[in-house]
Amino acid sequence: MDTIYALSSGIGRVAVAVVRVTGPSSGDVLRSFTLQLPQERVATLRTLRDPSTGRIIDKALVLWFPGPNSFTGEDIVEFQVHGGLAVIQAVFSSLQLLGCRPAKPGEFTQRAFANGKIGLTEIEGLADLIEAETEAQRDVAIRLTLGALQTRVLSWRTDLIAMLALIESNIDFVEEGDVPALILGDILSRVSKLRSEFETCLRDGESGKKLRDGFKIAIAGAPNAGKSTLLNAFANRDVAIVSDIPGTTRDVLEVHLDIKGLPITFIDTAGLRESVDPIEVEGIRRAREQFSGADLILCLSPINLDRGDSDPIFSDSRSLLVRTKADLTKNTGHGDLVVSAKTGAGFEELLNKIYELAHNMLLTREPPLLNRDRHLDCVRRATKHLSSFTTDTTLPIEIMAEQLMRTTRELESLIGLVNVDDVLDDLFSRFCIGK
Amino acid sequence: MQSHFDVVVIGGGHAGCEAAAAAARMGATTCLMTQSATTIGAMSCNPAIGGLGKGQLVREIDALDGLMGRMADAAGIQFRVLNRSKGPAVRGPRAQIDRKLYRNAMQRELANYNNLTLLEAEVVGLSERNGSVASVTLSNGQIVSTSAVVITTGTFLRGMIHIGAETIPAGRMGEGPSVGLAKSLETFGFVLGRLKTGTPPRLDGNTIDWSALQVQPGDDVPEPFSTLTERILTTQIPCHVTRTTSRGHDIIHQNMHRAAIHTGAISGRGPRYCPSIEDKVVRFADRDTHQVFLEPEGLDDNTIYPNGISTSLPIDVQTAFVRTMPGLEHVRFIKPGYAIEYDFVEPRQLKLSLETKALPGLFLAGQINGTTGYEEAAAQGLVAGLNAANFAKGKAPVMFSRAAAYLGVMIDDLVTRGVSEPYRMFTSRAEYRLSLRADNADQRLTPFGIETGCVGTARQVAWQKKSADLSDSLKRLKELQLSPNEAGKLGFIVNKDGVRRTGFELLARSEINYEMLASVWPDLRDVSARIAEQVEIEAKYAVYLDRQNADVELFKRDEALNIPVDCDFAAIPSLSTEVRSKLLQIRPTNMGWAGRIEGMTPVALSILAGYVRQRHSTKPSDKAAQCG
Ligand SMILES: Cc1cc2nc3c(=O)[nH]c(=O)nc-3n(C[C@H](O)[C@H](O)[C@H](O)COP(=O)(O)OP(=O)(O)OC[C@H]3O[C@@H](n4cnc5c(N)ncnc54)[C@H](O)[C@@H]3O)c2cc1C
Repeated sequence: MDTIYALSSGIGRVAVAVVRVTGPSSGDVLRSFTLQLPQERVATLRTLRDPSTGRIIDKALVLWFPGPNSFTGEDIVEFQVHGGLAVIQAVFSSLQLLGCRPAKPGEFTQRAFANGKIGLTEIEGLADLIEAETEAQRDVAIRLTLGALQTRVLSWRTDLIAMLALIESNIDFVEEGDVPALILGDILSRVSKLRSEFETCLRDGESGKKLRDGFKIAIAGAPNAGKSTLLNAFANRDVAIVSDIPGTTRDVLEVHLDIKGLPITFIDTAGLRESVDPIEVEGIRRAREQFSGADLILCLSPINLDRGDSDPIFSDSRSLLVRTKADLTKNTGHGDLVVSAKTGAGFEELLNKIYELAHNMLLTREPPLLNRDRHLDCVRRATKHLSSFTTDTTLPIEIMAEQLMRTTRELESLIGLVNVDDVLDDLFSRFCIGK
Repeated sequence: MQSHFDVVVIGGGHAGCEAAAAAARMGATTCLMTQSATTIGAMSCNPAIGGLGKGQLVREIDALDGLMGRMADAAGIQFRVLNRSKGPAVRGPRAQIDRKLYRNAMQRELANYNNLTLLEAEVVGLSERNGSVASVTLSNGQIVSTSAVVITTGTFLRGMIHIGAETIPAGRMGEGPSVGLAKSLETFGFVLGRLKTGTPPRLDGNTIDWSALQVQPGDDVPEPFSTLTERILTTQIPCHVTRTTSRGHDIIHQNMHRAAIHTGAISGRGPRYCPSIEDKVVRFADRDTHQVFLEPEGLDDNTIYPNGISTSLPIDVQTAFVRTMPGLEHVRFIKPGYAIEYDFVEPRQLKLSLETKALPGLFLAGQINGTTGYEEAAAQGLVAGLNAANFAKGKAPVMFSRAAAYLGVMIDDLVTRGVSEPYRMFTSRAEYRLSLRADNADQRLTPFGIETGCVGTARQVAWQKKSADLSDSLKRLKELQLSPNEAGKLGFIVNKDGVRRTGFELLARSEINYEMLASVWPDLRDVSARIAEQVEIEAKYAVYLDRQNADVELFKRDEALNIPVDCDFAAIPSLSTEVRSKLLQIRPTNMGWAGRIEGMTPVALSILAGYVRQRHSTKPSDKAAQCG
């Protein structure tokens, strides 16, 4: 097994740089730099010497975490050196001389996983945590990282296995006596409790997924209805091409915003109108595609024109009508939301409305445990296996066992006890080195 | 006597008999060597064959033209399908056996078997030439040359009997242990472990008050094990049931310190699922009674086997305890119960063909591999016999996968996980239980057996007829159709959705049985009861079987990812030491197998897969005949 190292702090000229080493020869490596091992897990100030020449490299804080009580489960050494490029370079060349090699992306985490120090959903949480842009996303990610889902799934699994043991003993040993009797009602009520927990998790999980991806708002309207202007006003910077020539926004533009801690994605779309220009027709087709994935559709209609309800999207249940260009008229809009990008009128109101809708959709009473399609798919399939219990109470005992076993397998694949290949490849490739 | 055999089988127990017969059926000149010709086919413990998981094994042996099923049919005196109230996948045929009839049937069968020589002899050693097995040495000094050896010595390797504080070196009560052979195995570097098992006292039926006891009859129509048996001809008799009492439990508690398992005399692990009565009263302290079946050992034998009270207590305690049970107040013992400790060969030293990795040409089968039970022994014997014959003839090994048979599940468990207690078959060990049933063992295995060359003409003919009948029957049932209206008129409740349903689809419903369909379509009556039953089972399980088949496909995909036999596991980077040493020990030959190794993590598995892909991408796979 190789001993590997990585710069775990940022690159560039920084005050302190952290270099971490993990693997079987970590201890030897540390001794080569400092002669003796410091006390375990106590930050100790040491002089680092070049192992081949004995020349001083730096004065550094060193930490010694012998395995298995370390992040990777292996022996780990951490050097906190002064952040100059030459210092870091000197440490790296010495490490290579000692037979270590640079870590590949995600390799520290991969080893932690291989040694059972961290579970699959915890790694996913870690990936989310690194990518979290808003407070609400961070909140869910840290819970995953700390093992909230893993713990819950393991407790479900324990329950399933206990039921299976009871059922299997009633299959294989019932003729030999000495097995606790199978009380069907008891199994059914345990299964239905599990199922309703799965269902709650799935409901919350939909929010979890939205929270991870962001609340999607598509902005729709006829050409020149003020869509791009509105988007720019939200983003407070120029993102879309804004012009008065109808049909400018032919492609799709996304802006990610943090509104009071919630991740919101605005999608600007091509103006909706009859057109023969093939490029524009394509833009409109894409716009409609965006609508189908949106959580909210802001339907813009300039207040000085007709409401434009002729387009079917205006009557979609997710649509919110917004009258734009309030500065062009004194018309109050008869209860519709009215905004002006020029004066900023009505903006606060619109933002509040968006926040309220996003809040209702993204935030659940309990923070969600599931937050990606992989999670939801596993639990959905698990729920389906359990559903045969209540619809058909005369289920033969060996079929009950079969269904409980399948449920257990789904949960095991959720936390990476089986079938992890595809998940891992994807996951580890997204990590930065040294994590 | 011949000076050279293709195959020598050591031991005339259940594993040995099947091994010898299988090798002989494959055309190998075979010699069965056993200490005493009169104990060939002897049942060391309970007078019964079959049960849950075990009954499936017997049917599988039968499907490959083995002996156990037919012998049991000839000697069975009470037949009962266990779990009859549950689904067909978890039912297990079982029979009480007349010991003497069984032994006689087996001895007669083997005496007339083509290619087979029986030799009464104790084998004391093995030797090798050019790295593979070459000969066996008998206790009289004679050396017999052979191309392959199957050892099936059961509990005999350094066997030691315990009754209270008394210890007797023995393979079974009244038979000497095998020490020379155990030593010989050690010189070849095999790791041996120690296990224990026990047996209850045997009672004199003439001293039992039967009137006080509940009767347990067999099935009205006994169901044979073998597809070649038309009808059971032996006289059928009932069993009786009694129970232990709290007074008896007190006696055991008071004398617990005198039980061999508690004096520290025994170091081997016993089976958790088949505890001695002294274990039971400790483990189930809250129960003041346990059921005890009084099983007859034969039609003209007054010996009674009290199933459920195996014990290593001193004889005086055994007697006092047994006499607290209803009906047994004045019982006399014919033989006391005892515990036996014996050496077994840690089975992770075996390949899936049951050949040892260390000594090519040497095969092990039965209790020597850490299993318990006649059926487990016989099933391994059969596989080892087939492979020994193939080895002798330079042919590729024959293997059975977990998806094909219980015997595949068992052997895979043994060589992959090893044993920490005597291994017994259960239905729950088989992940594809719904398709590995007692009723379809022949469909699963007989065609493969025919291809392999271990199935004789009589069975081939019978199988071809059954197979044709079955597929005709299924075809017909899938052609016959009813509209919802027609079905409704006939009293079948189906959705009025306008969809026509086939007979097969109707049969899938729990409230509809074959007989009901036959009253609609009288032609359905012209098949045998066995075929009708099987068609119904296939229909009832159809949805689940479809799903299970999808799982089996995935399983096969992993099994097909070969790991070359010369894969250098030690050179794979980034594996934990534990995983690496397990891989080196077990040497799995495909990814599916590697995945079942204990302690194998998903990550380790993907590292292994990557390494194999990189290093060995162009190597062709090793040739072997695999079933399933
Ligand atoms: C006391 C006792 C209690 C048991 N209790 C149970 C139980 O409760 N439940 C259960 O399922 N199973 C039980 N069994 C196990 C069951 O009897 C065995 O698993 C099964 O018989 C093993 O079959 P086998 O062919 O491996 O060995 P065996 O049937 O033991 O046959 C071994 C054969 O090898 C021969 N042999 C041994 N050494 C040599 C040699 N050197 N040369 C030539 N021949 C040799 C012997 O003579 C014998 O014929 C018990 C066995 C014993 C002895």
